Amino acid sequence: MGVSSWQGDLVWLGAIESEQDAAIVARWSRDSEYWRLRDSAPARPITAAQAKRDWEADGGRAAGAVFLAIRTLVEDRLIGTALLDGIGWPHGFGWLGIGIGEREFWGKGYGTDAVQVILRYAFTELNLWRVSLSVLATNARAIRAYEKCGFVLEGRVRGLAHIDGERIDEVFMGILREEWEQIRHAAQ
Amino acid sequence: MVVSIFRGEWVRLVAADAGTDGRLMAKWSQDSEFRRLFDTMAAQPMGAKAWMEAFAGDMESDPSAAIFGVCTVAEDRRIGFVGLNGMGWTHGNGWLTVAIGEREFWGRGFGSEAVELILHYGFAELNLHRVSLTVFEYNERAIHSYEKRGFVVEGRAREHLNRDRRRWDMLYMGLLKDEWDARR
Amino acid sequence: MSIANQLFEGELIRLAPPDPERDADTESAWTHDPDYMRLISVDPIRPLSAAQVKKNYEAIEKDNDKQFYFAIRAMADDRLIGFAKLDGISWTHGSARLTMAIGSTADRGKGYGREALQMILRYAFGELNLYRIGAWTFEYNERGLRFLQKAGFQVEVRQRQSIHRDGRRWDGIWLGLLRSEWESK
Repeated sequence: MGVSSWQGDLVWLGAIESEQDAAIVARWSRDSEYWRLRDSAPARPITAAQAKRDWEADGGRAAGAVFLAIRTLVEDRLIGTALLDGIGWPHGFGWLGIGIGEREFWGKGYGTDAVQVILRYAFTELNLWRVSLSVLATNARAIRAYEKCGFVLEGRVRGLAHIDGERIDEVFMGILREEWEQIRHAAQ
Repeated sequence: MVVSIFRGEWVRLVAADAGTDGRLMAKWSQDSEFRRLFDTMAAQPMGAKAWMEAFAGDMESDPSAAIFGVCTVAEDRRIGFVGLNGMGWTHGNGWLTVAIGEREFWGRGFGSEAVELILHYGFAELNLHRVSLTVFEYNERAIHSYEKRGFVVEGRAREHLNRDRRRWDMLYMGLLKDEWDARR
Repeated sequence: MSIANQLFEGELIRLAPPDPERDADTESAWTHDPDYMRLISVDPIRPLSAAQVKKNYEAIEKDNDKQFYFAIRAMADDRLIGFAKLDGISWTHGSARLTMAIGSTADRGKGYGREALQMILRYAFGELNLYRIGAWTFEYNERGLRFLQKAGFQVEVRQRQSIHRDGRRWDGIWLGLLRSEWESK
């Protein structure tokens, strides 16, 4: 029960709420590559006010669902957001979504660290049985990070995304609590 | 005996409906003995509209509650309601609520079977780990029925109630999934 | 396929608009059948009153541009047989999710579902011009799986142990059908 479970090795996860946070999220929406990797809705630049409205659509979230800011431990800098939602309670499944908006933090382990924090929440606080996610097949960096965390490939939805005239598959992955526990146990 | 998840031999679970149930509760709440068995609130007759609003309010504040009407299989007569609410999803627990409003169906196993059906629902559809309930010391029929289903007295809120100028305890009972499985 | 070929009128069934005034009681009865509910929903199954069925329809009607909901009615006597809907539509990617069900066991295995499926697919690919249709079902729905696979759907994803019902775990299964595959059949 001791250590704050919202802290990883590189990042900590917490509430996203301020005007400054909203302005940063809005800035990320100017990066269409970031948007297209993260979201299947048509990419578009948004204002800080819209960013705030989007994350405040909290009324619809299931019990236990979270939408959090990912901040660096070192400088307390907002670098991305993490989502655990779509929880099917009697079944114990939930859906994970992670995006690192600050490009300089891509490929350095920050995303992976954030995933670990969310998985710990999912499996030791929500007591979920499994966590699912989907990711664009061309997002090799993210797929590698998820595999490092123990996610298993469960299928490909063919041509789900249509981007710049190309059809891209959506990869589905999942991790069971018992698999996650085994990985942690082996690491100790 | 559970025939299928919504159906027993004597009763079946049907959709709760604020309108129908509100009207029935208005009728049943005229019976002060029923009220006092069911509720800590001062027993008073309440109109259908007030009951409907109370039910609608409950549904809004606890959207994942699973409340059902109880109908007899023989005549399709609505005799009460049963359900699970206050779900602690991360812990897998919920609270049982049951009320048979039609007196002629007391003590004949109808309420008991309604409880059996909702427990089956809680353990096999909601996948709960345990079900809790509170019951008043003077409701001997209900306590006996719960014990028959495997509920264990876990605590007593001593002298919680004051009715008819004497004090009564409120009992806390609980049933674990393993215990329920073992009895089947 | 030409414009003269009817989209909604088949031989055994027709695709009709939802009619809550007429159908709420029938649908309410279906929701009291746990086997039916467990085929179409991952949520805890709950019987619905006719009033609740009507309320759900109000929500569907508000959503008219985001989903396409059809009642399946028998041509012979216009009886309500089931429903078929396309939702989760992504217009920019050209994808949607199909859900359909025949309400009463007595009406299954008579060809109603098969004809309804062909009509809804033709609607999806020929009228909405979608690229692919997905369907989500459960490992225990063997009949549903066979039904979709016979129409050309392919299993794309198995979400292991996703569903917990009746004391055991089942996989959740996504299937998909591309327009090109449907056209070549």
